[in-house]
Amino acid sequence: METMTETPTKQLAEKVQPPKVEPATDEAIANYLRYTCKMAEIAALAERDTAILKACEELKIVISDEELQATGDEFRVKHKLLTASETLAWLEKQRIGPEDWTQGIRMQLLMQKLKERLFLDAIDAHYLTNREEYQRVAFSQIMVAELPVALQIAQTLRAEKVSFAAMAIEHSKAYPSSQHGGFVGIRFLSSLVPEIKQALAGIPEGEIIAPVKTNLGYHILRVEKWFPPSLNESVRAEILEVLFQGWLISNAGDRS
Amino acid sequence: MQIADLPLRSTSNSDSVSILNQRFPPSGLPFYRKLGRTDLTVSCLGIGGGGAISSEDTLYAFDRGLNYFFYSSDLHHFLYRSMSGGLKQLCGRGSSVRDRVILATVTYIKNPEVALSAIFDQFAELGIDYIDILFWGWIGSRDASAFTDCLHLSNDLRGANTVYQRTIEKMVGTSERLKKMGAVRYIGASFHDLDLANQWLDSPLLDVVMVRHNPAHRSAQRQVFNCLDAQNPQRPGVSTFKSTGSHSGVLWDAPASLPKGCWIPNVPDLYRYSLSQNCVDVCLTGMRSRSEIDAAIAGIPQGKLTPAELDYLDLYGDLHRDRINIADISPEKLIYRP
Repeated sequence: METMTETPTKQLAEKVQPPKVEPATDEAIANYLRYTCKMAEIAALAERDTAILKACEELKIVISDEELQATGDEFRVKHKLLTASETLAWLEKQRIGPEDWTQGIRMQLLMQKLKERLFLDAIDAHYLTNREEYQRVAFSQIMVAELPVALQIAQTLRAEKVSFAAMAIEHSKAYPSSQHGGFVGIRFLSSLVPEIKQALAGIPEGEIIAPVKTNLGYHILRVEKWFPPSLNESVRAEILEVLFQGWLISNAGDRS
Repeated sequence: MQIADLPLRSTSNSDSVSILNQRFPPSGLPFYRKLGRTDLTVSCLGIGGGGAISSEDTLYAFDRGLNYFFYSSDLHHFLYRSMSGGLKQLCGRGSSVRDRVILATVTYIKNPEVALSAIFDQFAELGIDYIDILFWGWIGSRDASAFTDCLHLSNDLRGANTVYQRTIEKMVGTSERLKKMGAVRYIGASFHDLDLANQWLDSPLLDVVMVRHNPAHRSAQRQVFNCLDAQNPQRPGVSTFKSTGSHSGVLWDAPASLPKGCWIPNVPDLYRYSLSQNCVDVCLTGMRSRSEIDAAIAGIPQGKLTPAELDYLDLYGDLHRDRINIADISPEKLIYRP
């Protein structure tokens, strides 16, 4: 019977091939963005770039040909586009021309220069004032929907009858940490939801924390390791981004 | 932008060869030694300002080969300041001998929020480009939490291109040395609580450990020195203080019950007592004069104390603290010297 129901469908699929269509025009692409409700998101990014260009003009921030060339070459190395032909083929695949690509590199450089002009000197002061916000923690969690289940899991873990990872794989509803034995990763304490942040604060490594309620469910937590705050390059970049995004938002607010 | 063929780049990194710590032979008392895992080469005798040594004698000590100097900008500053002129000369901006001096400073204000101000005071007073070792001072049994907070600053304090270096630069002006070394090169702690010292022996946040040690106070041997592996290049540097003193009195004064003719250690002997212990790199002293400096230096070539001498001084220290009765000491353990 199954073969009888499948056969007509198969035949139809073989009969009707996907229609050949012309490459989408800019208008068609814009239309797609509208009906998939992505217009606002892309429009905001375009407006952001316009704001960056205006600010750079005002501050007389320019990109030299040498900077442009060096960054373009770095881009090509990163994307393994070592020959001109590979690069041109890649551009064609992206449906853009060399000028579009160059404009993208220029925007990227202008944005970085603007960020640094506006906020590079403010990073250290921001960090020293908000240092505790940059403490990081590696932690694991088991998230379940019911409190009694959470309490039972916490009790079992405290009795050290089974491993945290095994319980997480079996019970946790949190994805993707459940697939990694409950290990969430290393996170800035300030980036966590307030309930989790409060529960983790000051807890010694290895201790099982009683179920914590959030909008998502009940979390059994364990701190794996604390990392003291440190203003390394990645944190500097993050602070620069935070300050810049704040400036962009206030700028957008002024425009509206 | 030009799109031409890019030259192939080599992907192999030529690792720069690290300069490994030179380790001295396990026997004897080399005058200079590496300070634990740091890349600092220190003299085995250090001078702190607690004895109010003058600036002239501080410079004399440097000329005689001592290179480890310890300075407090807060507690007991009225004593330490008498050596500040000498330290300015040795470590101040423009000094031609700065790279031959190890400047250790201490703050007894165990509060991360005040660290910047404490360091600034030291920079302003001594006119320096950088500090080799910044010590958190007087870490007692009630300081566990505050001390943890202080050590959590280590990665922001130590080395070049750190937030503290850049901030100090803004406060005192930039210099090539400050940029290269950072405001602070290494972090140390002076412990009064040996349990805490023991807990932090294996921390990447703490580079140098300083503890009280003398024949009458030997707990550091069990809780610190003997917990370290002399062959481990990653162990922290170790310094002792109060090598000659005890609350029962100075140790060069013989205990009342010591039989006549028994060896009474002099001050250089007491320094060698500390330096004879496992992993002790520096004995920090409170030397006050040129004659004391000369005597201490003259003692070093005698090398480490023998096991019999160490055992004797242990008993000597116990007698000092009335922890043992002379009648309970077997006569063959006593050492008689004219």
